[in-house]
Amino acid sequence: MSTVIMVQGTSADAGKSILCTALCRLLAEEGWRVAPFCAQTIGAETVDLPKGQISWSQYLQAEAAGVTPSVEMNPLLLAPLSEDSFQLTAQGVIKGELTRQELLAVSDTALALVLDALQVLRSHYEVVIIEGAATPVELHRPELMLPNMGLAKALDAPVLLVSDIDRGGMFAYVAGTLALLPPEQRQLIQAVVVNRFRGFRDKLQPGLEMLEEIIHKPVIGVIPHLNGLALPPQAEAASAATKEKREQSYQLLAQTLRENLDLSFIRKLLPAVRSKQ
Amino acid sequence: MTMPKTSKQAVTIMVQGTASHVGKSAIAAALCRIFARAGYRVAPFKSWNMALNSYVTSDGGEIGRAQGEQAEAAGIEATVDMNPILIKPSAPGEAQVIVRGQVYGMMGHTHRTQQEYHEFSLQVIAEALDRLRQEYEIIVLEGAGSPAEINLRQQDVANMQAAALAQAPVLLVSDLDRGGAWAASVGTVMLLPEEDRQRVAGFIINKFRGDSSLLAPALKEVTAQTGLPVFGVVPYLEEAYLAEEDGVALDDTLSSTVKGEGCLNICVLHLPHIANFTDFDALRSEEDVSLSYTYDGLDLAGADAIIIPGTKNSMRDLLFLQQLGLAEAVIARARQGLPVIGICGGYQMLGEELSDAEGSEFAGQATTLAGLGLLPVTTSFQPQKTVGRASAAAQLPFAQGAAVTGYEIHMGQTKRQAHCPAAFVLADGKEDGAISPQGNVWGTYLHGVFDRPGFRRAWLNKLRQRRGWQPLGESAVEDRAQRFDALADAVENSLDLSALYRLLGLAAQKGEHQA
Repeated sequence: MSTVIMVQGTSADAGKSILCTALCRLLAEEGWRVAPFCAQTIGAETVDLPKGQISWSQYLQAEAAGVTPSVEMNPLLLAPLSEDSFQLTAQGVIKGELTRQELLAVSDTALALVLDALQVLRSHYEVVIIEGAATPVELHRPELMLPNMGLAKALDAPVLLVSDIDRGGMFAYVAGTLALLPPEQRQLIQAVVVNRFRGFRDKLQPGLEMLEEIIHKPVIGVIPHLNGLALPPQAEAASAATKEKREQSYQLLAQTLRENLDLSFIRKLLPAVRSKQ
Repeated sequence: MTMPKTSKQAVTIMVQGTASHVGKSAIAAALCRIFARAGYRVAPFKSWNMALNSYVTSDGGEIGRAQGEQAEAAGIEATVDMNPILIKPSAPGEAQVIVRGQVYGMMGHTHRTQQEYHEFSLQVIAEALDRLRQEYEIIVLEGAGSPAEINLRQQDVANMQAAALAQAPVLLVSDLDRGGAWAASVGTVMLLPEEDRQRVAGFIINKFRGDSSLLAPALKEVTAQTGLPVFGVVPYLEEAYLAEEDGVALDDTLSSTVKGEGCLNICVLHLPHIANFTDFDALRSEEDVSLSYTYDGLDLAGADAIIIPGTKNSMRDLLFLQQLGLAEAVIARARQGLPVIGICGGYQMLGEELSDAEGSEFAGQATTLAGLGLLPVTTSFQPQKTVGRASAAAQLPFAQGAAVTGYEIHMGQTKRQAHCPAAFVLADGKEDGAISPQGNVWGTYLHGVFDRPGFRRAWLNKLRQRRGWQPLGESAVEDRAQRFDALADAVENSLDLSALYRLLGLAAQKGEHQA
């Protein structure tokens, strides 16, 4: 059976997408057949594939992994129609308009559909990198349960929690996220990754050590604030030149992970024996 | 029942955040307005601020822009005591320390040890706060970033150390829109040492949009985890966050506003040390303007005008423009007759030469650089800073005599050649700025030059004329007082005000007995 690694965040823009993209490229460079996945995106920018739409983020992640993007990589798309209703598209098929209540009522069916899509990927790939949505503790947005801990629990997936340090409050966001998770969900979180750091690493270190003592989880990486990543919105991405720039960005991301992430921790999550070279 | 406080010392309340950009400044401004409307004499205070945009007080001092606006919201004149320490980044790893409005030195070089700097800071803060507390009845303090940076607790004079000096109860603001607000509220309180935790009176959940019927369980959970009440959930207020400024992450603020067909394209060069970029907010708000920040020369091709903005480091940013080939692109476009405008540092760059004998721009290294050569002026840098508010009359042909108001902050002095006309005449008779022989290039030291609707519209109509478009009339500018009132109304409607007044030990209207 293939391996799954999930990335969840402490805020909507914590850097989940970028970390998943970087992991896809890094593991692909190390010879793994790797695919991206996000169970459910809400209001995401999408790209058309032969069998339907997926979000632009998973499209880029597939590109980074060097694999063909497919509709299974983002099986559920929610397009907000109002504060309380969504248009649901499942694996390329528009299922219609649902209120939040209706959506929550069919969450078991939705999860089954998500697991089916994931199963297709897992039969083709050795590693699937799963991106969560917003945060796992948006207590007022129950529709975010499925793409975060709903899925993680169903898979018993190891979860990396990524947090943006650039805006400040990172320690509190991490500690508070763990505090608000029920124990059976909290124990799925294996480690913390700090993102968008600028400053002096040695000044941060004592704080990281204090945090590790408080949350009883390791901080396995501090990713620097990256300038010049050419991963623009889809509208600007058509030309060959931008595709070449994207390729450079993927290389930069993988290299950045190599330099700033405890890769031995990631490798421990991977199968000891390769299924097929 | 207790009587309203009559002691000389003002009562205090502090707004802290779970991160930067959660909307602290707007909430503090709203509280200033709410208390002022209730009849209290109220002043804003931020002990320590890191910001690129500053507000110039009437006595020529620099403070954080948010405190300037909060003072306006409170209906009072801003003074340097309202933000006694301001850190202005000037280059990577470099920053000016501004104490009570004046440049005190470079960060890291003002005192022998971190400890001495810290003690000095606390002294400055305590004295400023004391003066304000003598003069006003309520002080609304604002924190910076998050109080729970566990690696920086000793040196953080902006949050809990300021709250301790002021004996202020703290309202902790979090940003629901960005996500993680519940976690950040709980986590911040969790990470505070006991004595600081005691100061937190409760939460304000900010920037809410969505279905409010789903909030109740979340609010209950936060209170259950912390034992602290939520004072209110404030809706997302699009227009309220302009002066939000702590930290130096500008990505949001420097976002381009691109509108559809029929709009003028105004390109502002995205300089690495760009400063006082709120200069262009007024342009951005015009219906017929698409404003973009760019460092891509290709973007300049479709521009109706190019603006070189103010910068914290003219010399370094000039080199940046030259290295990227942007300087060449701007010169070529200007020669074709395209309007090119320089503000402050941008004005300096448009000239023929910039010389820095003291090395104030290049860390002690005397340097002279050739400018873009589009204006017959030369600039020399001096250690003495020129800071002040100004009103002026335009000398530009398209807006002859139009009134502008703004402020100057610059280290350099710029000399025009004899034949070169000034762009503005200041109220005190001094001349400012310069106009090129062809008239399409001009520069000024006046920040905020586009703020007055008359001058702004005259300039935009000049750009429209080049396109062969009909001129437009002046836009109705929303009165600032109305904007503060709208903000205060929204916050007042969202907060449990009676709980807030109880916390302060004050009546909800001055002169009434406390309920």
